Amino acid sequence: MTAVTTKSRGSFLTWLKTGSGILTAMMAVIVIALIPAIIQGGLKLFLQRVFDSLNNGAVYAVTAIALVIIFKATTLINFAGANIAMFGAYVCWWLNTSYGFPIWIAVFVAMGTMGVLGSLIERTLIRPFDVNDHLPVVLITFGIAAILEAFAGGLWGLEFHKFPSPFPSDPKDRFTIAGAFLRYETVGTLIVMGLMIYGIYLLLNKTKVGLAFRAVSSNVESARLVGVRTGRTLQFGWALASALGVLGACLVAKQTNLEPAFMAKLVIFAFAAATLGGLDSIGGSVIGAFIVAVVQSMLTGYGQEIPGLGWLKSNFALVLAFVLILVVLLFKPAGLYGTRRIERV
Amino acid sequence: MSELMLKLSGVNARYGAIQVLRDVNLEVNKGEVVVVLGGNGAGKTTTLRAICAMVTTTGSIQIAGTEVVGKDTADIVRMQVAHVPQGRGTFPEMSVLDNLMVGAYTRKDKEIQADIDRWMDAFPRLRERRTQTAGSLSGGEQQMLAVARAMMCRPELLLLDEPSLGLAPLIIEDLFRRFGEINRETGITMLVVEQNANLALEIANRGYVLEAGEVVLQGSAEDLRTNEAVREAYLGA
Amino acid sequence: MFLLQAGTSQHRMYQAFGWLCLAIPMILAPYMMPSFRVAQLAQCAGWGVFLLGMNVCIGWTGLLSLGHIAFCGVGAYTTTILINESGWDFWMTLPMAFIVCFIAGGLVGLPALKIKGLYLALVTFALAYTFPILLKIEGGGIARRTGGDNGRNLEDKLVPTETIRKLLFINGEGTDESTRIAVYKYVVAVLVLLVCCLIVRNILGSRAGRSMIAVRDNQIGAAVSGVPLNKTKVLAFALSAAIAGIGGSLIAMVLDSVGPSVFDANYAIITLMGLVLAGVGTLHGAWLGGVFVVFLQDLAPRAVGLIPVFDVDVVYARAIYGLMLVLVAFFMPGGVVSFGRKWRARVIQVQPKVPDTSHLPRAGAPPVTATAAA
Ligand SMILES: Nc1ncnc2c1ncn2[C@@H]1O[C@H](COP(=O)(O)OP(=O)(O)OP(=O)(O)O)[C@@H](O)[C@H]1O
Ligand SMILES: [Mg+2]
Repeated sequence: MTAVTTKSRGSFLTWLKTGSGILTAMMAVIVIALIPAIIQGGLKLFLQRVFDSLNNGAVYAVTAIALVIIFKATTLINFAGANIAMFGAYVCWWLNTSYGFPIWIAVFVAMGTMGVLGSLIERTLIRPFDVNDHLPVVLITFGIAAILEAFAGGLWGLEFHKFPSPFPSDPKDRFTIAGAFLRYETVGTLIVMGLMIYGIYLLLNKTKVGLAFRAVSSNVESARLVGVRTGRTLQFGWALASALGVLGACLVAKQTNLEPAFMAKLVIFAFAAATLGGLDSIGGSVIGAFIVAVVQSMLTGYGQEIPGLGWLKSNFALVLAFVLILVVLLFKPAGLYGTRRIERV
Repeated sequence: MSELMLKLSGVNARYGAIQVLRDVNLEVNKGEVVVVLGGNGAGKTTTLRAICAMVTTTGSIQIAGTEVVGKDTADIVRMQVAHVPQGRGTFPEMSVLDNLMVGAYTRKDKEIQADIDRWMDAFPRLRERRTQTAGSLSGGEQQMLAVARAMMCRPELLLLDEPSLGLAPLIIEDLFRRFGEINRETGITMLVVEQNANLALEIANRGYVLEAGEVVLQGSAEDLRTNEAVREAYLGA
Repeated sequence: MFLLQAGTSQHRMYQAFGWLCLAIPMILAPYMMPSFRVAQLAQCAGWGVFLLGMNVCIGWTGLLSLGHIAFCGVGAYTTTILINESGWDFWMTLPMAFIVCFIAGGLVGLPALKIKGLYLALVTFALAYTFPILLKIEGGGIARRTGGDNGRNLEDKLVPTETIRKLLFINGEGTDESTRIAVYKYVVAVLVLLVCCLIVRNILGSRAGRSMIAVRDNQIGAAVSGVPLNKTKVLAFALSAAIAGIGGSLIAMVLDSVGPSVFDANYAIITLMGLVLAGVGTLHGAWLGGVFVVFLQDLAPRAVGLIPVFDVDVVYARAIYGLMLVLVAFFMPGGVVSFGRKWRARVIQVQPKVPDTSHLPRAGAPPVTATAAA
């Protein structure tokens, strides 16, 4: 009898230490922390906060996936990712407003353009360096970020531009669920994210280039030995990540408006999402993205509406995101669903 | 029988400033099994890596008459060369099935599935574990996977780097029997690096002994087995 | 090409000459420049201390941290708040900044150092990004103490006493008060920089320093030979954070103010570039990096002005800065210091002292240097 209980308790503890266990515990903490707020503000408000977070969650997820793809393939971090995405959104906006491209066509053209740019960056600026020499990569990616920022500002001005919405965005375009509003835009963003994840899944698991990509991320030396052209595969990874980043930027630009730093302000949440979920796990970083978004939305929402919590400005979510990163690292350095490979030796 | 599959002449190889191979000359005829013996750090692995352009190399390496020094690894592999690296070199996060698929990466024909079946017949363990990730296999199973993966590209030249490393004696014997069978059935040429000289010399036609990056001895398997120096250094007799 | 034997009088003279070349301009500069330039030089020394700290982490332990700017900020704010709210003397705040930043560094380092490579860079960059926002939190009186967006001025500025004025020759009629204060601040900053350099140099030569370098060069090898990896890394990180904090205190003192915009992610990258351009993992790289941090920002916009294509649009100053980052990575990965050493090696070569082996049995050929020594 006793043996059985100890065993089950032991396995409960083991489960708690897995990614799913920590995830559940975290959700529980969030929900418990929110109980007073829910009681005070009502369920409708709570639901509204959740709906509000979905949009950001999807955008963080897309941006985080772009980060993860490059990290998986090369163990490098592309600090220019946010600004590549930003520049792509400008290209999209420019094609749409100056040349009358339909918005979705403009999005795809921008994705393609920045995809090409991403692969060129890999070929010319990243590949000459040893992958284990990290300092040049940091300098170069930050350098690219600064150059893109300067050119976005120089070509299109530093002022805010209104970005056309890719979805029906009239104030009336929304579902009402239990009194809370779910905007079509949010649903559209979620659908696009879902399609994108499914697309990536197909690309990685059902195509030859996907097979090569997975082989390179798993073991570069062996990948070369079976005849994979690793350079081209990495270029493909950079192109894919850059294009995805642009998609994320185009999905969020309607709310943030265009300006040269709009993605750089947001990417820190994607960092948090990826760290939380596991920097080499696509699924994990999607989950991480929604956790970060929900926490952020709750903090800002309740901060505004409940007296006494006024200091919980949206900025505080960033601080919380960082603390969250540190706590997760303390207990599970690889993130919730990352592999142990990314931990230190 | 005398057609040359692989010919290294005057090969030097270096890692950065460290020169590892010095003027290595080595020949492997078509259909032969040739073993490379040598102590730790003698440069055996480096020899195989030089053939696949995985290390800075000068000199001449010809595969089936074509010069390959200066070519890209990916192009050399497309000349039907398969390399099972030291420490197996499987793709740990990918399933057994995907590992085999990657092995056939350079192929475009329709018989890939048939070949997968064939190698799963040869190594039934792999069939049992086909959806498991390679990282979760035992050492012996991973070695089988590595060999099967290499065979998936239908190589004409198979480079094996210490396939017995870390395996139980019984499994090693079984593995070498398989190598012998594969060689006889498919006529594939093999260059095997091995510490376990006894077994290797049993299936090999000829052998080379490498020391400090230089070939110090070569001869038929029979000659090497009876050579005093080799017996002392590698056969434990 | 000159050959010098280590330990000979020529070699000592050569070394003394080298130090004089460094010291004389350092001593004369404040007396020959306008006060705002002197203040900039004092800033250079402040950033130099900060980069010294960063170098301990990045250069000598091999941990790529982009978050040290936050510790710099912690040091600066510690000094400011202690002076403004508790009426402390500037000198007394330095050890306090050291301690506070040491603890902060340990707290961040414990979890952050569980990961490696660029992943660590990512997390520490998040720290750099978060820090300015942290300063603006209104809860707990944080924003009130830090001054939020506006930052704070130091209420009790560092002013030289009569004796110090005499010692520094700044009591004469020829100088105005702002110059005198600038010179004094410069002297203070440079002295602190020198002390920090000496401390770091001693640490590097000690057992702890050798452990750090071993961790950088070959982590597994270090662990195998008994270096406690975790402890070494966390201690190195905390120490580097503490030195960075001292740098922050100096910067606050020199600027007479602190604000969130000096300790943000942008500066994290500018300072990293300064360090790389000067020389990662070298003592000289630290102060030289400080010079770059202060003056490159001054120069980049002017450089844009020189390129006719860009029509003097300040927007493109950032592009020049980005281009500089890329070029540094490609062409100056070892920095000015290693570049200089390479050139010096062409002109002057110093041969190490030959250990006295006469009492040992001779084996093989005599060492090559023995012939040259004759
Ligand atoms: N990547 C590398 N960088 C620098 N030196 C290397 C590298 N790989 C191998 N060496 C050196 O080259 C020499 C030969 O190595 P190699 O791996 O070819 O030996 P080996 O004969 O395969 O030994 P073993 O039986 O231990 O596998 C060794 O001295 C080793 O230290
Ligand atoms: Mg070997």
